[in-house]
Amino acid sequence: MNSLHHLLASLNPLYRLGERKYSSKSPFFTILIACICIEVYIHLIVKNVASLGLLAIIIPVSLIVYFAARDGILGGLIVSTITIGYYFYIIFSLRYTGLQYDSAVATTIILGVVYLLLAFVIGWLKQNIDALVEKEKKARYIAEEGKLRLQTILAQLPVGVIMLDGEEKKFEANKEMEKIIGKKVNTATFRNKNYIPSFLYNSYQSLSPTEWPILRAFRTGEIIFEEEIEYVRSDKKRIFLMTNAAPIKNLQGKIVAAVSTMYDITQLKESEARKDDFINMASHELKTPITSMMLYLDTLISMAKNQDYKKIKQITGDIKRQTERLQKLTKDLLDVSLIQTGNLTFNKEKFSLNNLLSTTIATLRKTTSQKIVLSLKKSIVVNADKLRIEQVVTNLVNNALKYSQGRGSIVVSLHKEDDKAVVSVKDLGIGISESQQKNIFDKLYRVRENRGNTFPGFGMGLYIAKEIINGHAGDIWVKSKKGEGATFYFSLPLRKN
Amino acid sequence: MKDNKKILLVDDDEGILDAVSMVLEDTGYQVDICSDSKKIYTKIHKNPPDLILLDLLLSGQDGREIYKKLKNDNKTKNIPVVIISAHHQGKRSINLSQLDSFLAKPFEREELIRKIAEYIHE
Repeated sequence: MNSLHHLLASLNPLYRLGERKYSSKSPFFTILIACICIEVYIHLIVKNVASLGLLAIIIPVSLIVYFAARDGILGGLIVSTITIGYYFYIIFSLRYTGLQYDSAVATTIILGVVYLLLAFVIGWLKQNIDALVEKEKKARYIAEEGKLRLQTILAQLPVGVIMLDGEEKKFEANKEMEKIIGKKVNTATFRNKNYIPSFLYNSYQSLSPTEWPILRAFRTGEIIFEEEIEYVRSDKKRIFLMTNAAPIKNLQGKIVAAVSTMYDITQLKESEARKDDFINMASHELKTPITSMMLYLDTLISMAKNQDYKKIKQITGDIKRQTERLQKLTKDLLDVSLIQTGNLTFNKEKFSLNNLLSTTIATLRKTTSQKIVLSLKKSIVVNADKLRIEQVVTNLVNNALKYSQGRGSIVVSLHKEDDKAVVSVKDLGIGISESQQKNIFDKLYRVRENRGNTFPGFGMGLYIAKEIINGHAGDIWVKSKKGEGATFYFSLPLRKN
Repeated sequence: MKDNKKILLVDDDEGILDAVSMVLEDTGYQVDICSDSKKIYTKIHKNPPDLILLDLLLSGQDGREIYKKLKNDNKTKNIPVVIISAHHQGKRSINLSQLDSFLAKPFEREELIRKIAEYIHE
């Protein structure tokens, strides 16, 4: 069936409309063969010259029409010319004379002109239709290609794009958009302008679905620029989106569609909030020792008048302690800035970790009434920056002291594990919930209790400790349960370096 | 007489506790210090002070909640409270009653004495 269809299609000139493949060979050979066949039929089979007339007109005319429609002007002209030539051959081979000869020649000339005109007109029509069809095909191709290009661009954009097509009555979104809102955008068709697709529904209550920028743009023609909206995803995460939207009008100025772009600024917002938190904390932490120093100095001035040396000595000691505290804060701030600019460097040397822990813990014991237990076994020598490792130990122990609030004793221990030295600092304090454990080594993160209740401090200690340990190709981690204390560990490689 | 006037100082920073109580004792007040937010209420009920100096940012419990609780308790609501805070938004974050006031850290000796004198007359 299929091959029959193909044969018919190739024989039917209308099937070739729009195909600009013209042949001059097939019209030439076909008419030549047709003429020879007519000759053979008349002289060898029928032997009746009278039957020549009809055959010699019907067959060539059909071929002229066919080839003009199939192969254009040239095909038609070739067939016509050969037909006219054949007619003259017949006139000469029949040896007409006189009036008979004249009328035969005149008829042939008239027929010839009609054939040529016929071939030209049909061929011209065919070629024009071909040109039109091809133009249309090209236009459709360009449009399709443009659509494909646009689709690729949309898919690659790091910005969420959503489109509402009023004519097709459907929503479409790129991948990024679906990533942002955390679900597929339904392309289900809608009936009227007031339709609200379900994916816009679980937005934050401050934004009703009808206020979505894309719907406003579509319904009122409003152009929305950099509007911030909140959205609660189905996984309950609240996100912030910077969004633009605009209506799309047709050439008559009627709104037929709308487009909206969305950019997830949640992380930006979070880091802004963290920065604010840090500035608040920094000012709080810096003001506190300054307050006590100011009070001490004021008292000192009045003491100096009375020359109470015992009290003066005590107060100057207090001022020194507060100054040391300020010094520690500014040092931490400097460390954070060194880390952030990539300038934290280490002066490595070989030293006994046991000795370092003993001296550091001895110093720390003087600052607290809480018991600090040190458990040491075999001596372990590491190649590291001694001062920086001491800083990490001090940070961890001070954290343990701060968060255990006098509860139980702090246990510091050292042991060898494979080719690593592992130091642990254990406390029986408030502990850290699992959700907070991932963040505590982040910059400027502090453990919060319930809401709002924080422990004083910059939140820099663990961040600095992590950077120092990572800089030594070691690891730092925590094991804890809320309410059951926490154990911080850090490891240093023994064979490397 | 000043000597009879008791001030309760609530802060978790030892430097502040030490320096502020030194100034107040020097001026002649009786000072009771408290760094554990859980013990505040029993302390106040046992021995009611004439004034409470309260830090806003405490470990354990938020100063704001302590303040609210004090103001909702009939026994303690008439004790004046001076909030001391280094938080620059501290004053905005708390709904102070007319009786009470706010002192921003850092403050000077004279400021502190003047503020307290507003509440405690000789």
